[in-house]
Amino acid sequence: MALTGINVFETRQYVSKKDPDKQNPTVFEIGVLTSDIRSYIENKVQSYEFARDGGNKGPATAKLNLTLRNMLVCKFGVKKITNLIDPQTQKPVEFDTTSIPVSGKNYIGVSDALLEMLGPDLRLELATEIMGENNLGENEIKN
Amino acid sequence: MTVWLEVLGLNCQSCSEAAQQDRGCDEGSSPGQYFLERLNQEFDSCPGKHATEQSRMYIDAFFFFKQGYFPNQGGWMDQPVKLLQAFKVITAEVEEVNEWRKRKGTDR
Repeated sequence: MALTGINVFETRQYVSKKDPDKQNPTVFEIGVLTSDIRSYIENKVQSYEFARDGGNKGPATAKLNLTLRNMLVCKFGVKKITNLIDPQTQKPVEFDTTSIPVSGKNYIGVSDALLEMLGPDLRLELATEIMGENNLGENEIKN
Repeated sequence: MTVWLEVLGLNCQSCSEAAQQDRGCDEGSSPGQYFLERLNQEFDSCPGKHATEQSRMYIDAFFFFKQGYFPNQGGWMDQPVKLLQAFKVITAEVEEVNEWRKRKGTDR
C-alpha cells in the first residue's frame, strides 16, 4: 500500500528492481517528507539568475542540481536500510544517521558515507520512489 | 469523489442493509444510478465502494484540521507534503460542494 502521508513516522519497504540478490535483497524503509524538509531540499538544489541589463547578458536561467537533489531526498526519505552489503568487507553495513539542522530544528538523515555507498543510480531510483510516494497521484486526487 | 459521498447521503456507517442491497454494495446495481456532476462520472454501484481507505483517512484528518488540529506535532511545515496536498484538494472540493448546494438551493 502506498504511503498515506498522514503520519510523519509512516514507512513502507522498498526493494530495488536492480538488486542482484533476489533471495536476500537490501530492504529500504522509505518514508514521509515534511513540508519543511521539502522546502529545504528545493532551496538547496535550485538557483536562479536574472538578467540585470535588459537581457544583454542572456536570458534568465534556472539551475537544478539533480545529483544533490537525489542525495538529499534519499538522506531524509530513507528511514532504515537492512542487509546492505559493504562492497569492501562483504558484510552487512550498520545503518548510520546524522543530525541535520533545518530551519532551527534538528532532523535525522542517513549519513553521507552510507549514501555514497548506494551509488548514483540507486540514489536516483530511491529518490524517484520517495518523491512519488510524497506526491498525490492522479487517481488519489480523483478519489 | 469521497467529499461528495456525504452530499449524496452515502454514508457507509449509517447505511442500512436494505440500502446496501439497493445501492449494489454486494452485487452490481444498474449503471448510472449514482451520477456525480462534478466528476462527470457514472458508477455501476454505490460510489462509496470506490472510495479508498486512504481518501477516507484524509477526510477524517481534514475534519480535525478544520477544528485546528494537525495529525502530527508542530505547525503546517512539520506536516507531510502529501497531506497538505490532500488538504488543498479537499478544500477545493468542499468549495465545489458548497457551490453545488447553493445552486441546488436557488433551483428549488
